[in-house]
Amino acid sequence: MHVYTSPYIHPLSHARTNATFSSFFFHNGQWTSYKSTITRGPHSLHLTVHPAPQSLPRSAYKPVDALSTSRLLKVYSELSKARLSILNVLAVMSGMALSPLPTTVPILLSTAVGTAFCCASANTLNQLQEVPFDAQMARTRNRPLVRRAITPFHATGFAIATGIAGPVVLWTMTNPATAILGASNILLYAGAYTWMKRKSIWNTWVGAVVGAVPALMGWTASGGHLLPSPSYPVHFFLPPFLTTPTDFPLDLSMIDNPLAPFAFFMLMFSWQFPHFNGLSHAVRGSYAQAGYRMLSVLDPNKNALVSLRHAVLLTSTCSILIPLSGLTTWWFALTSLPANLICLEAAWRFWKEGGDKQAMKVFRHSLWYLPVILGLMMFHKQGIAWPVQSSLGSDSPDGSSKEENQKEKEV
Amino acid sequence: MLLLPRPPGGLSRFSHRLLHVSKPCSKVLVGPPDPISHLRPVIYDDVPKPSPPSLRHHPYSLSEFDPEPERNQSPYELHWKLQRQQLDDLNQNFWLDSNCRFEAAKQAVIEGLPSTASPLDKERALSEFYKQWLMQERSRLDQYTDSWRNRNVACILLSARVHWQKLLRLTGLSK
Repeated sequence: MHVYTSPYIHPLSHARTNATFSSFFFHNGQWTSYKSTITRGPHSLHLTVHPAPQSLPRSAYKPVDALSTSRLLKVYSELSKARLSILNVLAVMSGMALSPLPTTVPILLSTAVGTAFCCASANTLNQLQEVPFDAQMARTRNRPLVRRAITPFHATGFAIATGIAGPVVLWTMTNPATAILGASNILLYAGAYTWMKRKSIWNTWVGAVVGAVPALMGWTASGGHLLPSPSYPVHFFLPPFLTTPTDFPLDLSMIDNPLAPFAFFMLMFSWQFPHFNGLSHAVRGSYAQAGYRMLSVLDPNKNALVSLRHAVLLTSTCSILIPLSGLTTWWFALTSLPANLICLEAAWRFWKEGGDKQAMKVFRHSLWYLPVILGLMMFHKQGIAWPVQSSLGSDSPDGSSKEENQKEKEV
Repeated sequence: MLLLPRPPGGLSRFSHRLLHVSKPCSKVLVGPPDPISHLRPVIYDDVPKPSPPSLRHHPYSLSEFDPEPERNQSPYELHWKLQRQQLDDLNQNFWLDSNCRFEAAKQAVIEGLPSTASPLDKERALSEFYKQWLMQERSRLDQYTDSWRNRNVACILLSARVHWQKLLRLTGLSK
């Protein structure tokens, strides 16, 4: 890696360059005393001599803490990005909660455990590949591999163990489809997304798919089907004012149609863009310094436009696609409208004005948006045995909880 | 590409250490993050000992062989440790150079703004700078990323090989 080339110096170069050039050759003490570092200027062969920072005294170094059990567990949870993994597990649980098919507590728990293992593996493999880049960004500087709390070999062992355990648990306790989705998500995140972060702006779209796959995993884990087939055709649940009275009561077994997981997937996919693009704009300086190819660095206007596009898509998904697929009643289209309009307005302002403040506003809105929308979806879930109070669907504004839904499904 | 590396992180500090250690210990010392490169310097206590100061730039590693024969590392261990140190040095050199230039260029952009510039103007100027920086650095970053990925995988595989050999020796299965 030590490539030495002789610098070309124009005969008419001025004295400053000559002085730097001669200091390069005639003061041999600089090599043995390590007083300075020499770097090359970006657009020329000018050599800039930087005085080296004071060499660190030995006392500034601290030994790496030995990995006791509690410290090891803490490092493992940091490697697996525990908070992100928990959110992914919750997304899978939401997929199972929204599915009309019955499920049992063992399947729920094993899906949660399997997904947690898959997330741990994917996140660890990602961190293994990004150690020097994480060191550059303030947000990621305290990750365990960056601060040398664990060796790369140990972390790789953890990644391989969880990467095998996750799909195995999913395959044996639920079904092969969920296991295959879990394993593909690991490869997509740790392989494609991580590699693309340094090559192309399209890494954000791949990352959005990674974030939306848990929705599909929840659906398949409860036994649903993802692809249309003659026995599971696509069925549209039209709004009550468009249907004739003979269509009531709704044939709820038709909810297990491929449009439902697709609608949920589109919700999770589109949500990733206002969420990530807002944050990405605010930290674009760190991304630029660390050398990541992100849309917020290369074209901030386009970045804001993409987040606006997907805010519009989110509104139409909530208002049309989700009730149409039978996941929820058509009341959901009305109750989700305030949340959608708030986020749409923030995304519009971000595109029009484009400052860091607006970007963080879009990001903060995205944080409450998803739990609220998922909560509303579960509240308005098609097929809950509420007493029928209106002719606009089988829904009533009584309070409900996810646990009640689960108990009903298990009966 | 003229990139003059800083001396390997551990060696310049070994002048403070005793050169004759009675028992090798495998403690790793980690320093605070470097203010420019943001990387933490590491002293691996079980590295090959450095050559005496006057021969610091000898092209071969004169300290490869410990005077005590039983303490000599296996070739696998030596290979791994040299690669590990080289990878640390590669990272340090690259980021020191890159960040020096980045900060200098960013400072130049900020100082070049008129005094009447609003915060939004400053943000826009910085956005333009970040874009130009990324475009300018593309080939260098691509080379470094490929280098880093290959060497990272190599170091992990080499350390796996060393651990496997130790395991074989412990269980008495090696010849």
